[in-house]
Amino acid sequence: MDRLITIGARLGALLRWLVAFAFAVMVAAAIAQVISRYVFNRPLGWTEELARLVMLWWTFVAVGLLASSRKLMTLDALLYVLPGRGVHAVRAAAHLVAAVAALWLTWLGARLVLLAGRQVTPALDLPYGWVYLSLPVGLGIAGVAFVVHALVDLGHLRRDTPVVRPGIGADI
Amino acid sequence: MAWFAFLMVMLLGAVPIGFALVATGLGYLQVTGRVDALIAAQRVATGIDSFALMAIPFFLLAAELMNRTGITDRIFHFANCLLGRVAGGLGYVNVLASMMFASMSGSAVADAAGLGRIEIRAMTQAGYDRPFAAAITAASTVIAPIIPPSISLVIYGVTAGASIGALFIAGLLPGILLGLALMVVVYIFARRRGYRAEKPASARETLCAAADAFLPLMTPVIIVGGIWTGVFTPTEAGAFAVLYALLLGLVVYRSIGIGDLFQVLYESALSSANILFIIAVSALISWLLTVEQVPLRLAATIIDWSPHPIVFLLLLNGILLVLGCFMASAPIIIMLTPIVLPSAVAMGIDPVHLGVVMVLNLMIGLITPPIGLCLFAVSEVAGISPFALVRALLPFFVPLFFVLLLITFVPWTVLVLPKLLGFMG
Repeated sequence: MDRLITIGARLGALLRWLVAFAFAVMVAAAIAQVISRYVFNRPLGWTEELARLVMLWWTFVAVGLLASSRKLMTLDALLYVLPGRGVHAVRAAAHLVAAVAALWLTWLGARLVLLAGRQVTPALDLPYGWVYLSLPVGLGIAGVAFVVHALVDLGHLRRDTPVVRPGIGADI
Repeated sequence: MAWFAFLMVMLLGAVPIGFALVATGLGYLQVTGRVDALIAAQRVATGIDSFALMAIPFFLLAAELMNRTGITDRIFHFANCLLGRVAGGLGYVNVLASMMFASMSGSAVADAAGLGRIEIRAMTQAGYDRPFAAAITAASTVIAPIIPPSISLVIYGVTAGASIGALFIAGLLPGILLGLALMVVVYIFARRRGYRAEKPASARETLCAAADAFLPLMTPVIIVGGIWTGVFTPTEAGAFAVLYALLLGLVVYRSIGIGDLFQVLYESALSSANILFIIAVSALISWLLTVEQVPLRLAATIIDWSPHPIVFLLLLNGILLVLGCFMASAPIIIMLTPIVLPSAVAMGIDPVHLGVVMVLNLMIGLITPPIGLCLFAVSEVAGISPFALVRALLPFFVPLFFVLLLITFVPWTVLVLPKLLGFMG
């Protein structure tokens, strides 16, 4: 068990670096695009596609990280008013539903990768499978995280542990 | 309708919003068998494969960078030199600094967490009572997503298929009106409570502060100027705002190091992903809406009933205010825009007008109880309870609602600038 947790933590750290790095690549590509067009008058053809591709990847991987740290946008009004046991029960049920949804979309995404075949993207000549792969990877992480959360919540429910109300939440 | 009840139950039951949409959308496709679920999954991936949407992470990153590079301190100092000298000066400074920050950042939360800290500290040190300082700080966060750039307006523009450039320019006048209206309340409080003035800054000091703030204040010139003249798309303007903030922080002021960048990049990526994911999976719901003809049926019902467009907008404002009290703003924009836009257009309401009204409304929702992110963020920064903050905030809702009603009733206030500058036909 301890070993699993260590592996999970290392994987998490690696993914965090990847997300930040991919974000940086996206910024660099978009800036290169403007500079190549206005300063050198010769637009680079591949910058926009690269920026869009890495955005897809870091977005879905970040969804997996958000799911594992319970930071996804959620309407949590109910969790403020329910008694302790009710919060655990609602959370467990919500995580189970989310797990089903995430794993369902993971499975569809995986089929999409296999079906994409030899089609390649217009500028980078990259197989579309690589583009679509971001979906099952990110959502797969989220699905596993939801299952773990649901089990943890069920444990809380059984032992009736004191409830931690939701924090500040997320918005812009 | 059963499917909407299903979605509502899941949303209320604290299923993460994006995954509640996935469950509803895939469930609908599975049961009705109208569209191959595989195509639906493809739409989720391609839904955010969009250059326009990239403006969201860019502007979030730029705002985060400006908070860390000390640009906010410079802006506050400059605003203080300009307006600190009158009675209740720091109240005006608070609003003016928020307006300046708003012209570089499009995020209300970044304003509350970054600039808010500086504003509240300065005001409490100068002897203002904490609840008042916190209240004016919270109220002025509403300006950030109205004065361009604006992340919320990017989300609306992408969802509604409206020009983001036009939306940005359209927010300019309402944003300035908001600032002025808040300053009126500051004036009344300053008279009634006898708030004192700060020591007037000398001409020399003001000039120095202006020089200090000059480079940061060029950001809005680059953003708005670039979009206005057509040099940049809004997304590219966002990328340049990031580049500019990086140059200022890493090279000119040397206030951040390469090491800080990881944290900033990572946090901005997470906040962006939280929104982008909901946009991506909203593609799944779009079939449900189209096949069940929800937006069209709603439009037909409303046209049958034929209220005045103003009545429609007032009704919409009411619904949004209630929703905004309980939910984050971004998912409301993403889910509600496709439903109400056809009705609005059928009644002759301009999509750009609708967008600015919706966003201002939802930003007020960020400072209303029981759930308002800026409310919580500011009360934490100020060290007072959210309840105390709400009480102090009450008078500030008057100018905010006044401007909301004004831009609802007088579309001219929103549309004059984009029309004048040729953003709309």
